[in-house]
Amino acid sequence: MELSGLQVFKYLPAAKRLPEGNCKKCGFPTCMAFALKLAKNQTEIQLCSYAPEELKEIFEQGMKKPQKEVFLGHKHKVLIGGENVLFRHDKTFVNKTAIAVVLDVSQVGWDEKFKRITEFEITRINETFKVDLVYLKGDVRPELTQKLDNLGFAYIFEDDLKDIMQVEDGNVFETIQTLTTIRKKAVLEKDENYSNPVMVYFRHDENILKLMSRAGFYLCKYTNLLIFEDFNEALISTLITLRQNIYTDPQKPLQVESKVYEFNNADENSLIFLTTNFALTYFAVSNEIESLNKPAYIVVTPSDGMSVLTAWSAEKFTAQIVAKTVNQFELAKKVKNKQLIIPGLLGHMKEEIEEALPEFKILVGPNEAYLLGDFVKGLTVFKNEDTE
Amino acid sequence: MTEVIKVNQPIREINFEGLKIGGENDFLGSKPVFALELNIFDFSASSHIVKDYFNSQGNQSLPAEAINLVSVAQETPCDILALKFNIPEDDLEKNIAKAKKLLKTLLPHIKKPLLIRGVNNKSVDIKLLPELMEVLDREVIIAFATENTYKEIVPAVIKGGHILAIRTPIDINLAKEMNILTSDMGLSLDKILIDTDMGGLGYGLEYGYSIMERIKLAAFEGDKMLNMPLIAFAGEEALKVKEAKSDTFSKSFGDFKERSMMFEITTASAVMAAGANLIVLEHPQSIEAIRSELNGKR
Repeated sequence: MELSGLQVFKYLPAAKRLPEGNCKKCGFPTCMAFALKLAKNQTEIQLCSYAPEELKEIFEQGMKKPQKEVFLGHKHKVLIGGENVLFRHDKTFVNKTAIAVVLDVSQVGWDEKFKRITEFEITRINETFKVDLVYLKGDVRPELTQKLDNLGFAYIFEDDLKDIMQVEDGNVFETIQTLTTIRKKAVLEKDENYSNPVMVYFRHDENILKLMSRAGFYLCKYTNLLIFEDFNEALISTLITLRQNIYTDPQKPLQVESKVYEFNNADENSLIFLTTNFALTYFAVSNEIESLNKPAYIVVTPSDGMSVLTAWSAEKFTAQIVAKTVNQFELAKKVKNKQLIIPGLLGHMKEEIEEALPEFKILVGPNEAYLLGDFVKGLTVFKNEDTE
Repeated sequence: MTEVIKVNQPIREINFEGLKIGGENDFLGSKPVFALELNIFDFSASSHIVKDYFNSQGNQSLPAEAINLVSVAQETPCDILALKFNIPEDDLEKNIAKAKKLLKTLLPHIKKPLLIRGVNNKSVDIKLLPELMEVLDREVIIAFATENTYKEIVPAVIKGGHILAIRTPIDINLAKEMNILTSDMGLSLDKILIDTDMGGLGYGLEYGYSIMERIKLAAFEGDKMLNMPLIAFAGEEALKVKEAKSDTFSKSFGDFKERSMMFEITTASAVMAAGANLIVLEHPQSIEAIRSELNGKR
């Protein structure tokens, strides 16, 4: 619990009108000044010998770290732990759950597995991901660790996991309850017995789908490290996708850059779509546009990462902003097909935008991105009739 | 230290055709219930993995085909059978009549508890859902009403004694407001499922995830207008994203079919972690995989 300066002050002698009030022994001119510094953690409670035990306890509790941070790896390292909330919306989760894969050099075919692990790489939403950690087992030769060092991979041995609390991959219901209890003890009670990061180790499982269901679950609640004996690309890429969602900072809207994006070899006859720079809106639209297999542009307005309707009500999506964006990228020079498709939710802006952008004909698109496919089909027919 | 006083109010428990939905007083205090959803009017709209499982491309919309789909679905370990009447928007009256007839034909074949779903389009759902309710001979879950459709849908739900899923666009305040508005119309609070809506895995899932958690926390802390069980259409959201629809990804994304299955399973795991009580999926093996892990000993 964090106290404000005034709340701290209420515990101090001056607030209680005691003779020790404003004694200056702490080095500050008044109790209030001391309280303000304390609240900002810029001085120490021990400097006041009159502070009540209750206040001292609050500060001692506050000084404790909810969960320890641990670096794993040798030359290259991965940081895990340090989580201080139970729910991502409380603030944010801090260090992503690390995903480790076991490489046991005493097993037949380990070199093939090594190749697959190190070649694994996916890019999603401007981020590139690899396997975070390679868990080495067996008689590991220095050439192998050297190779991993050179490739930029962090690796661990069994001994490196001594500061990690392991929860058994048992019955899902019970495992989740154990994981939740540990995180609650760490975060709410700051209980040092539970402050180490937590891992689950997945032994080989014939049923990769069942393994997936458990891994997804434990990633959400509440592991800092997941270790897999099996290496399955679909499983790891799916898990990384989930992790990207859960570890997104809820305090920052996901944005993409405001610019003109090109799809499927955009040319002068391309369709032109317009939307805001809220990442989810953009991804929903671009996802559909890509699968249309038609050349297209998406013009993305600078709208502070707001979705279409929010941006409109906050006046971050106005006819002027639209016109400015389109003109800034000189779109009129790039295309012959001067039809601009605006989001259906903002259909009422059609006339305004036409006024601000006289070179373009404004078409009102669908309300939802997934309807773009059907919309474009209708559009082609319309265009053909138009030219006849 | 001053601690927030926890009321620890449980989630309402809905008793539906022998199933208990909700009732927990902490995250994962009760096991979720699973529904298997079929695109019953036009099966061709289904995901590639679903078509594979049912060994049907759904090119014909004959009642015999629909009966067959229903009977195969009922053999799977789902608790609830969900039928999505995914009718096209044009020729509405004709298609609604056709959907109604189809439901009537199917009802005698349906032994599992039933969920009936419209298309999430205002002009269709306000007509389609009340019409479908006319032919029902049992209590079902109706999905879903929204801010724009509840006035037309709720009276038929009350009349038929059904349970209603109410969808709001990832907004806790609106979710609460809708519960108040519909209960003012006479819908019992024990007949409401909250559908927060959600984003797809990799495409904003976290928004739905956090709203579900926040609704649960508000409910546990005593909010009587938010302590209804949560329903999540996880399968539909998972299977419509690019990674689950397209095999044009690099080999690091893994086998296409396996990945599509995993997208559905992982989405289900995530909403379960966030507190979903009724999870609607489209592939029977997804339900089986999660279900066996929840119940089984390892």
